[in-house]
Amino acid sequence: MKTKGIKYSLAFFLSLLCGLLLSGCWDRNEINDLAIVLATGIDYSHQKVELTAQIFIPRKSGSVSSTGSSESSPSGVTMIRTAEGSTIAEALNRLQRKVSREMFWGHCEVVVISEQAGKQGLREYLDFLLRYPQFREHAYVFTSGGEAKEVLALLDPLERSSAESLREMANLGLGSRVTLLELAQSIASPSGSAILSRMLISPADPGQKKLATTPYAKGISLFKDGYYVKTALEPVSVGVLLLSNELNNFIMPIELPQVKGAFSIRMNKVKTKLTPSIVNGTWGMGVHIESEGEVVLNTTNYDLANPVMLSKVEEAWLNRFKELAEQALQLAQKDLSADIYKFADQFRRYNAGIWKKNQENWLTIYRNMEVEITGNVIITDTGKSIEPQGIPHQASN
Amino acid sequence: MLPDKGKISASQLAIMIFPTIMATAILSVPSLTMHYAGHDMWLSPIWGSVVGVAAIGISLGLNSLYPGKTIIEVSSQVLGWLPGKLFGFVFFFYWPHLIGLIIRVYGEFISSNALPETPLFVIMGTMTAVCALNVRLGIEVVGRTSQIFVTLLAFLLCLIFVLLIGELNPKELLPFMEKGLLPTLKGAVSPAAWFSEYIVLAFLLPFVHNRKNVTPIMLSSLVVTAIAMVATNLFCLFLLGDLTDSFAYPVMIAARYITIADFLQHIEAIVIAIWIFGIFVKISVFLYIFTITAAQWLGVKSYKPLVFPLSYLCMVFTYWLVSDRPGASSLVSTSANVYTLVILLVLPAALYLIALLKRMLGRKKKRS
Repeated sequence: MKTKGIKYSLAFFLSLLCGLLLSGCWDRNEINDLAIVLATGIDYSHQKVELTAQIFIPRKSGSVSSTGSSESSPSGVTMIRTAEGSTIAEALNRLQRKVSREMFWGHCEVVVISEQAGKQGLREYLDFLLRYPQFREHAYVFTSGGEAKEVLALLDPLERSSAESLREMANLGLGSRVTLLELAQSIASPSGSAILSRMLISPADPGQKKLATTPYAKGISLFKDGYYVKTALEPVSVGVLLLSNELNNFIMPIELPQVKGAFSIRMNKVKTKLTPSIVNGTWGMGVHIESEGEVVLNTTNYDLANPVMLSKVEEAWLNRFKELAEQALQLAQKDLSADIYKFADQFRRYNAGIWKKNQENWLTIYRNMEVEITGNVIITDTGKSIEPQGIPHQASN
Repeated sequence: MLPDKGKISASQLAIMIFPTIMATAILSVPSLTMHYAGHDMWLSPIWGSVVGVAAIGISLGLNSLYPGKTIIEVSSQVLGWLPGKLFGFVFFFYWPHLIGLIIRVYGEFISSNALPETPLFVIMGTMTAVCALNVRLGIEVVGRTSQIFVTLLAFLLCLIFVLLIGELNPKELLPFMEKGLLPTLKGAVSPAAWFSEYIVLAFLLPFVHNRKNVTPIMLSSLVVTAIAMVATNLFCLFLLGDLTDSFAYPVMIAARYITIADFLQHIEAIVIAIWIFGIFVKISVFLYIFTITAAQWLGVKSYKPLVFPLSYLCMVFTYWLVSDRPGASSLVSTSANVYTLVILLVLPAALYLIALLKRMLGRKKKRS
């Protein structure tokens, strides 16, 4: 009698367990119910925020590999959708209404903010991107000279998507590499400024579809107190990157006085160190540039095996660096009075007490601050050739 | 008389304590300390660990005065029947508060980071059920499971740290002592509240079979926990800087931030999965102590019949305590920390003092 009771209760319990299994499918969300967003674009026009999502098209990516590139655009595995709203959240809401699948932002590795949108201040966007649960803090942030949605609409022939090409460019260190978290830290820091790489669209090759092209980095967008203020183009942008310690992958021509032609140097390592000092109430900043590079082009008639020549080139190179740094400082201190290179953070770390007392009139101090630029550059390699190549009648001498 | 016949070793106890402190501390302590101590928040756990020393001292002291007895039994002996029962009642009443809050914090964390669509009740209920089973099987099983899971948890902590090394920025340490020493002491209140949970020793020491090296083992456990807490704070600081206290779960942001070689990313799900082992041990330990307290307070011979009803009570408390996530996070903030400190540190300390006085007076009487 008793065993029967146990058996019955066991059977009852097991049937209850089956009920648990049934619930497995109750709110399933399969991959083909999701619209995977690869990149987000933020624009601003007519007093409205425009949110753009670059969405991965899963079906097409499979067929491309099997049929080969019979279509004119070999990639074409992404599409964009745009919606506008008075706030970015409203735009998000409307955007979902234009997409048949549930939007999933967890793979959004790139955020492009147009400079026009940047003029309205980054605060709203940053709060949204750091609050909405799915966005990744490691997403790279760029600005675009034109509209962000146009950058996202591109179908890069080389990469899976234009988001991927932007991400690869950031990893290569073309322009500045700033993640969402770093941008937020940068804006929240005492200097309140930020720099972002600015993206433009290179025109498509003739005969190709208009969208089958690549975004490219040109210039640096400068943000002051969270608002976009100016775009620095070359050569000033080089100085900006140099002072922000973000100069990578750069080849620079160096000219010597009274010498025809130039040397081009590829920099393998550029390090900028800021040393704040407060002496007798005078605030000063020391900028020290350390760099190593190799010569990749020599259009002069001089032989680089000569150590005297080499040191002359190094000197000219350092002077070029100083020139660039001074231009960039002029822009930041005098023209914009924006603390782009985070001097404020340096002073706060240097002497928190004095910094706190002078926090109020920091901008006046900053505008009039003496900046001393020093440096140490070394040419580590002169390439495969020692003597200049390609000079007519060279061998007969 | 103990309501459980099981025995554990001193090192098992030490291992159990680690997640008992760290599992929730890892979520809340970085931003709570940052809120008061700013940059220097990594110092706060060091000050806070003094409370840990005190809690360990009280537990060991009570245990040496009344060996083999939990604090609940001791209270009746020291204070007399009625005041002793009142003392026990405070704990009897406090544990569901604390356990309810722990389960709630667990539920809110999981629902906001991993399972946003799953009802909170299912998240919390399944965990409570598993923990209740664990507790019902006895202290030996709780000790064994924690031995296995703590290894994983320690591995997880090291993993996040190692994978993030490239992104860390030690410059964030400066300026050191920007606002002086006082803020770091203020910030120490919340780690202190977590360290006061070392008072669980007063309940669990009677279950330890070899008492020889208990003191050094417990103190080294405290050192390890304090180092883990300082390290957590440090790497939140190095990664997030001043923004640490603007995030609900800074360590989670850190885990999400891991991106190595373009493919080792999105590993936050693994991090959560391993963290669940830690919170499992934490809930089990407190649930066990709750049932032991209840059994001894009610004078029941075995704690086992009490496990499921009391677990259910804790589940109910998760809803009685708070109704939303901001509520849950305010319940782990400073004022709540003081509440924890009063019950987990001040009350046992008072009991220990009275016990000491009684012992001294008793000796004098004997002499005279």
